[in-house]
Amino acid sequence: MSMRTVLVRKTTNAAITIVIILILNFILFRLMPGDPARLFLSGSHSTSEDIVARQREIFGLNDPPLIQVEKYLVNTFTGNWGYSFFQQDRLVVNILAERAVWTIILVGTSTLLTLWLGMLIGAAQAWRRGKTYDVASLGVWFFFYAMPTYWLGIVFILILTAMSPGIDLYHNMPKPIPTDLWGQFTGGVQHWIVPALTLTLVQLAGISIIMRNSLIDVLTEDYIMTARAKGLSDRTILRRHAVPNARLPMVTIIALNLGWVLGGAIQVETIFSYEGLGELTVTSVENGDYPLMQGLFLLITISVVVANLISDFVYAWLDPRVRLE
Amino acid sequence: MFRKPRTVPEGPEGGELTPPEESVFRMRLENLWRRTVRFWRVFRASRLGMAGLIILLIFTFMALSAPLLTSTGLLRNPESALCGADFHVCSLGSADEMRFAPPNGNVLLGTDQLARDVFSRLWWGSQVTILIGSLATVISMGIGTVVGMVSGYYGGWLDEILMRITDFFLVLPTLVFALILLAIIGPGFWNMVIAIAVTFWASTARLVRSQVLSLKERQFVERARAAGTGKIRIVWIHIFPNAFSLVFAEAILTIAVAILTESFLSFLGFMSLNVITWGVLIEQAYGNSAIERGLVWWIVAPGLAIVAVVMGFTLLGYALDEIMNPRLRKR
Repeated sequence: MSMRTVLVRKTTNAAITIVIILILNFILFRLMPGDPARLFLSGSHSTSEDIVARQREIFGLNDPPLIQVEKYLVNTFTGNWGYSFFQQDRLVVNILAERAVWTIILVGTSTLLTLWLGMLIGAAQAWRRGKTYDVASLGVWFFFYAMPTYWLGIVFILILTAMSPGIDLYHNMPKPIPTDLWGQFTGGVQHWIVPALTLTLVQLAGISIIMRNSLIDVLTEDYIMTARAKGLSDRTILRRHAVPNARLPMVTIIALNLGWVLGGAIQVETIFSYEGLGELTVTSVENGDYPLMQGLFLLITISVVVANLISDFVYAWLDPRVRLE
Repeated sequence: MFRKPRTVPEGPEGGELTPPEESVFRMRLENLWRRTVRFWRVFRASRLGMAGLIILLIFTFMALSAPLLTSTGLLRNPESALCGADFHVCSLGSADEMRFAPPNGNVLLGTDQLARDVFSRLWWGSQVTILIGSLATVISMGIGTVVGMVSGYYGGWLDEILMRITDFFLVLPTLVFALILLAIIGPGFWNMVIAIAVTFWASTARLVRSQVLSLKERQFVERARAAGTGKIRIVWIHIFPNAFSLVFAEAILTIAVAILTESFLSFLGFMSLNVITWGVLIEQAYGNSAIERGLVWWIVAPGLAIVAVVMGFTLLGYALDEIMNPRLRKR
């Protein structure tokens, strides 16, 4: 198969997956227990029958199914994702946009950090394969790999509050929010460090093990032997010949892991009350805020699918063996 | 080396060559025994795998011994309140209840918000935690195996449809999906099992499908087909046993992830009341401000238990994978 056919096929598959997501998003949230109209009105004073009936009419719950599907599709694609039930009736799209920024900061930085450290650690382990360092750090990383992310967050809170009582670890900004830009920046960084560190440590476990195994594979190849025979130093062999090849699969793995990392982000954000998408998911599930849940589900799943598709293209672009075919 | 086609004739198709029933059974038993011994020899050499096995044996002992230890009085009842300086059992709500006691010689990990012994709750927690992980995994392996088998063996448009659905579940952020599923079906023990099982089957389906695709071209399947064996029989009697060892290794690894997922969902309060899992213990400690009260062990011990059991399953799973997966075996 040529390069082009593969990418066309991947794109079609991603499109099909998005169609499945749209279908599921329509069906799932009509299976939710309780009447959305009643739930929406539960906060207000009057829940008389005709007001509930009118609200059902406004939500379009009385329309025939086909019209509902049509309205759903039009609304989804025009960005009209409705109003949140419980967040002061704000637009779902606005809430999501505001929260997404914080999650992107958290997940993005910790993923970059993980990649960089993971390659260093994985390379060091692969180079000393079977030696004490390798076995010991494998053990350490398995330990972190086995850790519930939210619990690691709790442990960090325990340690840090013991070290300096009164330390402010919660939320993504100090309260009240500083007015000057510099204060906002330093405050943001202070509140970002611990959650990002937690997420990095948990991710790092998986990534460094994968990097180690990938590098071990590469180190057994003939061209490494050739490089050694040429008299190149160990350092050059590792940095110039082995690592570039071994880190290629990372592109795919990072994208495939995104769904899992978001799972970690949910846990970290919940523990640190970090106002991102993950914390929003948990609160909207707890409150039964259907429009918000629907928007989150759509946003998160589609971005994971798109990220995977992008990684396929990047991989094809990076790997000359694939590109030149 | 591990999965050769059987040398024993396979039932009625063997014709006159079929030995008497008893000796077939004996041959199979011997064959199984030989393979087990051979497997054990390979497995014993894997240090990490042995470590995992030992950890799991300890936790299995904890889970199985909990009722016995409680009835003989070595372990306190996890639901009864403790009173007084000597921590004797008393009725809930008594005046001298020892709530939020720090660890001491009498109650090793202290007491909780209802003056119950945290240590015995931790011991009992091993039961449901391991049970939920295993149940969810068994169901999810079942779904994955059936989907993979059908997809791989029948191929065509059925394969195409099933694989697109599998792709969807594969990239899906599992925790987000499990959360939303639980929001729909509500909290509880079985709902949690279902929510976890439904989110984790996709990688198994992929694994089984790829195995089936390679196995169905092998000669022994060809022979069975030529002998007129039905499709369903071929899939289950000839192909499935050969793919099983890989599914098993995958299952062990999945239990680890399932336990982690369960612990977070329990932490969010999706477990039924009165069920003790380690996630529930952390939730109760966290919800009753163990951090502020300085009751470190109440919150740390269940977490360490999760880490240990998940590590046990992961180490064992990796070791099994390394032995059974022909791609990794040379390492």
